Amino acid sequence: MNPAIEVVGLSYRYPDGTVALDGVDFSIERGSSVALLGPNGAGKSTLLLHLNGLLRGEGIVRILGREMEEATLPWVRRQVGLVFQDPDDQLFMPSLEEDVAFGPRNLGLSEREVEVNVSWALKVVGLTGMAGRCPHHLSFGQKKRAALATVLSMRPEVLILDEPTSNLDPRSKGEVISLIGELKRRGTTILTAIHDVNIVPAIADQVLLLDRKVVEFGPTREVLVKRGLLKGLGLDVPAIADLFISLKDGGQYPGEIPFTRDEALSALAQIVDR
Amino acid sequence: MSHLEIDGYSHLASPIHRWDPRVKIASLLLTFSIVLLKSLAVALLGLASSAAILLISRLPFSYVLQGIKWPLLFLLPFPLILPLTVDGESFFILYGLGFSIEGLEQGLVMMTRGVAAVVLIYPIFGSSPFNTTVHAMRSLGLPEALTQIFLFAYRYLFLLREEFASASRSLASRGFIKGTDAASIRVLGAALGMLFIRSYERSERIYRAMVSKGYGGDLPSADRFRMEGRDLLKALIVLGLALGLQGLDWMVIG
Repeated sequence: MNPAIEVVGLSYRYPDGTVALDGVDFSIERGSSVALLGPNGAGKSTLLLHLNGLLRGEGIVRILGREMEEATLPWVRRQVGLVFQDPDDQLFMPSLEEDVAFGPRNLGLSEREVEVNVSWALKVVGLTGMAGRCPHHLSFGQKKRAALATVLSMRPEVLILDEPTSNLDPRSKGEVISLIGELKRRGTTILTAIHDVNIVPAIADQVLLLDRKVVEFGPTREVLVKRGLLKGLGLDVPAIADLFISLKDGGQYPGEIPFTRDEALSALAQIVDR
Repeated sequence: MSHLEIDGYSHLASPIHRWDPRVKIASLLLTFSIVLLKSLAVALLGLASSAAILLISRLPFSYVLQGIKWPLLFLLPFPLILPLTVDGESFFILYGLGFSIEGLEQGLVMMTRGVAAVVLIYPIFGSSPFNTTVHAMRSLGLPEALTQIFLFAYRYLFLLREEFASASRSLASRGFIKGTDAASIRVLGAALGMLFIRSYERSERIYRAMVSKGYGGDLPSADRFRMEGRDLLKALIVLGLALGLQGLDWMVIG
């Protein structure tokens, strides 16, 4: 066991008394990519804010083995990069370059290191050449990637993404998915809160179902076929998987549930062959 | 280009654009000198100096004209009203109302130096990116809190405008027509109130984003200002102009 994130008995109540998290327990291994699913109001965003120390509830949060407390907060924020849902919340400086350099400069890196990190982060997200642009003038898809660059420039071990593909057109969505895949290959631990279940198989090895507490946590292909559980939480099953679960339930298909187009094509071939 | 974007032409190349922003700000001294002028002839010379600096800066005149129309609306009444209120020799009488030469001259002086000062603001603040200007102001001693307020206000002004435009569209799509009656004002007040609440909530989210990236109260920046001999020379020319205008004004008025 080599966990990047460990959460033990985490509870949080908002000042108005609303319970957002109620005894959340889970552990995420280093280098893995986990999708965080749950209905609206399940506490997903609240949980993400805890992982960066922006909210402090009851319970224990450990990042890369170190418990989160006041003294370790600067260290935690260096290790955990948090990308917010609305990029306009994250791009607050007058130029993209200053936004991407904001974190590294706060870390006290030298100007040379800041420059290296900024150009690397902008290259990774495909925004090289736009460093001088005002964030306001970027398209929404570019803003989403720029927001990711502002965090990548700090070279975090753990990346927390809140709805990285929301409101994006298919092309921009595809770019973000391949970016997450690239970061995963580089060994970054990634936790992504997401509503679009069709994307989950492409970006996550595991799924964490949350509804104020952990409802289910396991491999993507095991959790996303639990139709009753997902529907009970008001969530969808990925479209391809949903179709083949119906075929399996009806006895027309005996094999593994496919999640991708290619898997579905070979599963359909099996059905035709029978 | 929107006039909220005062730095929309900061990418141009001119001697004013190449001027160290710190010295450029210090040249506001010329603006102060112009607004203190009393003689119309010297004020016109001040306006000519402002226009010359604007010409050197290569900022489009159309852009500046569009920007000064609102201050001009405020300044225009002076030469129209002061002839009626300032005592002196009348040059025109309308239904028994005398228009004094002294009042007209005072009104024209006020309008001329106002226009000159506004015109001069454009080359000073419009020839560097706004953030560079603010960082330069910080290096000249602007307090950290004010620096951050300026930077964030400028960054989010556009977003606020978009949100207001979106709220206006939403109101219009449901048949709302802006008027001056109480019902209209109530609806606009509610829309503005909602905008303020959303701005407040956004400011909390922005603060969280900043803290998550290590923000501890100070805004990090790489000050890369480098003052050269030519920057000082330009500053000396502007200072000479400011003092020259004051000297001429003193000679004319006494």
